[in-house]
Amino acid sequence: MAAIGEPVRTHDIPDPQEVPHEVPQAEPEAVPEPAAIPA
Amino acid sequence: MSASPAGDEPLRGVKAGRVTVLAQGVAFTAQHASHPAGGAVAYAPEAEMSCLCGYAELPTVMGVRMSGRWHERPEPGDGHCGFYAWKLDQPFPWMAGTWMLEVDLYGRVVEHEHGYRAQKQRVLRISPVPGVFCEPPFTLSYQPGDGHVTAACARCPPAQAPGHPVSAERMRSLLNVEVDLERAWRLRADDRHP
Repeated sequence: MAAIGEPVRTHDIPDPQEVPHEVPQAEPEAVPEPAAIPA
Repeated sequence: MSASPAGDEPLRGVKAGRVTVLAQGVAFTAQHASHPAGGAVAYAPEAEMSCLCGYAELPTVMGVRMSGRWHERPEPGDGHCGFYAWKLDQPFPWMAGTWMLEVDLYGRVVEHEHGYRAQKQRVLRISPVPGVFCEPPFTLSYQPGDGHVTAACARCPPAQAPGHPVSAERMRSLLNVEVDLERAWRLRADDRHP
């Protein structure tokens, strides 16, 4: 990763409450083995 | 170095990474970080950092080998852990085969001059970086060896080993992120920064 420079300040940001975009929610068990991805 | 006023909104950043089909499933993998035990550093679309600073070897002091400190969150001036991203409108390395990841950063975030180092990250949108001479439409596939998912077009020479095709819809449903096959290509073609 190219240089991001020197630190200038810190932030403490709470976890966001909502997913800001609408896409289907994937269940963990839906993640397949590589061979399961259809050819 | 200062603390920011209370802000509740995540900070938006952009980074380069890979989308990789691993034995455990599809994940993002870091370009420049690797686990000391071997293998790429992989992370889910929504993740909290794992510190690797303790593996770092520091100079020996009076015969005692010093080791790096472990961190629960990024600390300014101490260690190098965290999710890295550039601020928006920074020059982007358009390296073919990688992906442009647009991310939200939160938890403890150390802001740097040109980017961030964050405790937590959520990937919002991804776009593959195609070859310099590629033109849409793009298709996605991954190689069984390294598992890297890459984009190709009709002008691309055939791969030496056939890859497994995978659709953008499939990637979208597995990763729960927006997949835009042409965004990175468009930004690069227009000579714009993310």
